[in-house]
Amino acid sequence: MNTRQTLSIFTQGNNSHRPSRVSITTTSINDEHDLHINEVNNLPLIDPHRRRSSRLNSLRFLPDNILLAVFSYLTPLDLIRCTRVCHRWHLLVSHHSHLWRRLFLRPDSSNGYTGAVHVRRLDLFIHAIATRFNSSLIYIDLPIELITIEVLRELAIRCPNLEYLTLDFSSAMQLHDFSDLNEFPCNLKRLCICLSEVIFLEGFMRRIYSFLSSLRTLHIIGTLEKSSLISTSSPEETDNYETINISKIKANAPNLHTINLYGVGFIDDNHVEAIASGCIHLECLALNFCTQVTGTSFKNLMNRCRKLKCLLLQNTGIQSEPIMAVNWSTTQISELDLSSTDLNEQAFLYFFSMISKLNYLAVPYCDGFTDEVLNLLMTRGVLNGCRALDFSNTVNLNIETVYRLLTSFTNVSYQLEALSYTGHIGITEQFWSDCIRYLHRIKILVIGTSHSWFKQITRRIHIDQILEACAVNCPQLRRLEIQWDPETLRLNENSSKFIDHLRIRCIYLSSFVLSDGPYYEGVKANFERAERCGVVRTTTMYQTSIVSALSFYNELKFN
Amino acid sequence: MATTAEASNTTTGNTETATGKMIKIQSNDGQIFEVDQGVVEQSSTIKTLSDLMDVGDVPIPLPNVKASILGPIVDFCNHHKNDQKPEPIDEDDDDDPNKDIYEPKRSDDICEWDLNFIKQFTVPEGTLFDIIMAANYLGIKTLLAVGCKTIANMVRGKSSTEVREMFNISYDPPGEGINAPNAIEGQAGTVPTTQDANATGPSPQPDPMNQ
Repeated sequence: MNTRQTLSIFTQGNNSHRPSRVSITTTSINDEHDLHINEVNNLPLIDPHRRRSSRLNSLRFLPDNILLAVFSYLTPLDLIRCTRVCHRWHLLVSHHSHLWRRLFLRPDSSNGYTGAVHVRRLDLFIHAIATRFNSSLIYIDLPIELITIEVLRELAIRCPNLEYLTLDFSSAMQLHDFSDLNEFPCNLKRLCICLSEVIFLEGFMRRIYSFLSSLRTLHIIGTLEKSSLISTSSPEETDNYETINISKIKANAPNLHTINLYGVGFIDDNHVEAIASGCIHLECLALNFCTQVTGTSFKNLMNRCRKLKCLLLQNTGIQSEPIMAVNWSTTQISELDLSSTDLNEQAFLYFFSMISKLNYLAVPYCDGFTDEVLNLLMTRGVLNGCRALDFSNTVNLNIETVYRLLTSFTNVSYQLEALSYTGHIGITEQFWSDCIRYLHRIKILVIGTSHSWFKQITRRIHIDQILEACAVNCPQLRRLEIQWDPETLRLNENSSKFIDHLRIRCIYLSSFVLSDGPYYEGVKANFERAERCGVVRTTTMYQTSIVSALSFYNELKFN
Repeated sequence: MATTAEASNTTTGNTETATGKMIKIQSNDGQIFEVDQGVVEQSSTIKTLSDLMDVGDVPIPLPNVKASILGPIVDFCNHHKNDQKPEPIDEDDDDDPNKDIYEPKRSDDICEWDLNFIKQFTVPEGTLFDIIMAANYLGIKTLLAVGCKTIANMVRGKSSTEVREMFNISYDPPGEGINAPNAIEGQAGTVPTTQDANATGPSPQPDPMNQ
């Protein structure tokens, strides 16, 4: 591939084909186009020939700025298809690099909405980095076959604004030789590394440590599925190779604000100590599914990282004693996820007697979270102004206590934006229609209990009452999940009216998850008749969670 | 007593009409529409024109828009004039640090009323593009965004051939060799699963289908 030749042909193409607009340099498109709008508008509109063909086939008369506005809603995958539509589209798409800010190249990029692009020819891809993406590119994720010296060098040289980089080593069988790697993007704000179970990354990391000083967010994604969950019972049996050196990364990235270690099997309290000793700016630490963390390091962590606000410890191995050794009253922790941990009631009581305010609290599957704990939170006013609560599947928490929180403590319920409370068989539609009246600001609501062998639901639930309560009281509702099974739901011939009402009143509702069955089909058909496709989903495919209420949610997303 | 009550009534009535002053606009085929301030506020062009020339009772001429297009647009603006805020539309909001880096701008968030509104123009003989052009000319950002999102939704997921058929675009061979569209596109040969090395690179095929 001859780069120079390409460029010259492109220039020719521009000048001959569309001299006025496309040849504008890519960096200043917006300004220039705004200046052109009026001229562009007037010409074709006055043209009488145009009026005759004012039909859907007259798309070619749309000025470039409108076509570009259309393209700005499309993903890279669709843009690539657009380049093949006609010459003009090809030029527009290729020459306006601001359309190419993000590039998803990993096939398992879970972002189904976006769709990943598969690179078939490396030389053309490297060429495109220089000619098409260049300074616009801010996000890219690279699968293992694209993590090469050439690609990284090209990104480093051509893409000065690249801030978000994902390197996916998860499917690597062996590491390339990176001893010649001397260039690496150096303005990164966020680096995400997906680990492989067996590949030691030090050979690669050694070459890039010196480029990490600008990092604010670090994600290290472990190989959770295979080892960690099993190893909770017998940690010695599975091999958790320490494939990446946390201490060295920490030493080279002093500005880290957010660290997310997700399902990394080898992480234990020693690593957390290392993080604590280096990252004084740390505001958010997520150790979800790092099962070997027991909490013995938290005393140091809280002493050193005074800015820490958000601590996510879902499915970690934290123990009650280490938690009770920490002086939490001097910390600024306001967002806390303790899902599926084994803390006992004493630890919770100790913890919440010292914390002054929580904006986010997730304690699903916590047996230690009892009525007494919630009463303590209520009397101390810790939850006043809280944004998000998750009490699902807390067997020792009675529904009366939650009812009291939601109906009597309006400082909490009026402010609540996300609530998940599932897995309690005693809850009736009356409970929810009473409580929902107070949830004026709710955006995410997860309720109901699916039928299972250990949760026999005998009472049937009038679904209409709940929908009506949401329609009347929750104008902000965006996500609603109702987990009751079809057998549990009770409806009548008027149910469709209530669905209509919900649909019309909750205009922001973008996800409505129901258990698969006739009622789901009815709701789905109702929404689709109103052209709101994709809103209604089943619990088999979708799960609603309150995590998007975290203030660090955008930093924490990694896929 | 009764007279004072009446007097106060009339004064409030007067102030109301003063703020809600009606303005006349004229399409290029001579039809006159009377619109209130809530509609004028949404169109930067009409707003500028009405501010520039103190119009009084003279209709503002809009030489680029015909009545069959202007009528629905006035309906659209009438429906939206009580919206809470004119949402900050587009304007390259990618610099917003709170914006979700992973997702491009959404186009599936058109509200139900707008969907029904725009649907009447997207039929094969519809005048969607006239609406968009007029919205562009009149500077009605909400409508322009709805129109662009609608086209984007129509293009999404379609092959290049389907797009050409839908919009009746004639395929102009964009040149040979490197200037052929698929030469550059080969870098990102879109189908994630296909590993066909032959399908990439400069191809003499006029339409290198990617599906």
